[in-house]
Amino acid sequence: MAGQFSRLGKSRGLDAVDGRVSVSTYTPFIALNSTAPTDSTLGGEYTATGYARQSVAFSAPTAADPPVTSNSGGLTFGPFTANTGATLSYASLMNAVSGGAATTDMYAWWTLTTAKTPANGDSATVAVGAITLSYTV
Amino acid sequence: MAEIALGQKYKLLRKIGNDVNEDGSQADPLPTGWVGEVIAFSPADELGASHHDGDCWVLSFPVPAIDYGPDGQPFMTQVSRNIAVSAAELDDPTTYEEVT
Repeated sequence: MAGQFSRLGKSRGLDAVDGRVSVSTYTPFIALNSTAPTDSTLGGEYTATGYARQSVAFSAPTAADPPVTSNSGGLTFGPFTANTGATLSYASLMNAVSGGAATTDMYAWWTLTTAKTPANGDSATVAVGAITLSYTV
Repeated sequence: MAEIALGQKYKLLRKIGNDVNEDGSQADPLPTGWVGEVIAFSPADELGASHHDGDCWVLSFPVPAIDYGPDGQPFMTQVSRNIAVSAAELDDPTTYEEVT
């Protein structure tokens, strides 16, 4: 599924290109959301017991134009062991395992191809290459 | 209740989760014997690693995985799998054992 950059992610990309400030590497995490993020606001994060953000690695951009990057490893969330019921519909790219704000910590977000409402004991997986990012301009 | 700290490791004493999700998709339970490390604390009022019952700790389990290099060749790597647990859950002797 193709994602879109948040305002922060777009600004970070500009900074990387124009050399205004140095852009350093960081450990990216994928969060799952029940309500939609926007380019400048966080989505409602899933809160079932057992849920935590997962670290994610991205592949080098492809040779195509525009280039595309995607998750190079699979992700598993859960198992969720209580208080399930909310539907997983969105994901977002964050810079920490917990906390944060859209203006300082969320770089991109996605609408999941298939929404999922986990039951007690279920887990949610993201296949290799399922999360993609690319510039559209 | 034992004091919990970042870096403390815990061993799973029982499997957690379903073998198959309710919708028939593949599930991925946490197997007995896995050892996880506490990597973060998440207050109840903070968005992020969430736990419905309030404050929680993030337990990270190292998992072997296959990754692919720029040349497309596969290689073995390690990823982490994070779950959020409460202090009471970590203190449950039927589920977790502190690794010293």
